[in-house]
Amino acid sequence: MTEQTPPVTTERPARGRRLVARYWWAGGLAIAGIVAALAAAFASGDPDGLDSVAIEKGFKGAGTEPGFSIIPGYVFPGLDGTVATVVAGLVGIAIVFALMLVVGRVLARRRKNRAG
Amino acid sequence: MLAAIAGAIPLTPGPVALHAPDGFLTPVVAAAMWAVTAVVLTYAVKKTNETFDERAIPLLGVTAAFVFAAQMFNFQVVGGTSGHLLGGILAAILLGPWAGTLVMACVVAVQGLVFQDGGLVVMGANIFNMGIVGTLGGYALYTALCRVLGGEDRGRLPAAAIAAWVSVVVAAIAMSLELGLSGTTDLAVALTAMVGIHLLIGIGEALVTVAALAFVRIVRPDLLRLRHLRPATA
Repeated sequence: MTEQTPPVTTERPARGRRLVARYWWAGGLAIAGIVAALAAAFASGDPDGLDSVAIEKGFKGAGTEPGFSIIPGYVFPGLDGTVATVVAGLVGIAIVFALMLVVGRVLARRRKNRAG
Repeated sequence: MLAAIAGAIPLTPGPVALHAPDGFLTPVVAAAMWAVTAVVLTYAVKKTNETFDERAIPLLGVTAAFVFAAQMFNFQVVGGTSGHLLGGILAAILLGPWAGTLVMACVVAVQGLVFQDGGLVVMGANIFNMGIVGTLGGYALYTALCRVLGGEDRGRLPAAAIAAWVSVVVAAIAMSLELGLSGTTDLAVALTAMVGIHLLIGIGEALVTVAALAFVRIVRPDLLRLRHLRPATA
């Protein structure tokens, strides 16, 4: 996908090092996935989360509801509890990752076209 | 006491939520914020287009992914109130302020469109509050602080901590002003409650931002230099 200088981690086989250098972003995505999973686990066990505060204070309904729903409230439709939120999080991660890759490609390409 | 002032705004979606739903801002304020956001994003696209090196494309995606995930992670603050990372300063330090702004806009847009987190009418305001004002202002502060502290390598973490904290407070101020202008709630009440709680949430922002930068510095210090790369002009 892109050329990177090798990572500073030492004592790796040359091939492994090349793979890490090239596909480091997979590790970044894994970290994001773990964060989302932890978020899902904590949120499910935490009655003081944002939603319950809003409900408790009675202002949850103050805003107007959107006229559509895709993955409302980070709960993937058809799934339950923590799993639903983990899946929702992973879907969101995939979407923003893919979107920004496209944005990056478009902006980088435009630059090249203009320069050439 | 903070819980008391946090409860003083009857009409916010939780005083910590900077994701306003539709109906919180008047159409005029919402439209004005959309206009401001559109202008800034257009400029951000232009600046990114001028300076973006394709070697930074994976980092663009990973940063967006991390910011999205981290924004799901509400941490306990005080009095049954939670907050979450915004991530604008982290994105700006990794990618530069303009690409960082685009990342934030992407995250907020996806949250609104796909996850019904934040309204569409007020999305311009949400992007401005969470992705633009603190990101650009905070990044300017960051670079200034780095200069004072003797260069980015030495000043990175303390400068990032302060800029991250400020970016959250600035975002809260912006949201309060919009709520006040809209007449949703009294401006003074909004400012007091929003800023009060975000002074604390900003500490979380600073901690996460510093931890993430320290982690990147340890495992992949080269990523910290990506934003300084420039595409070769043929």
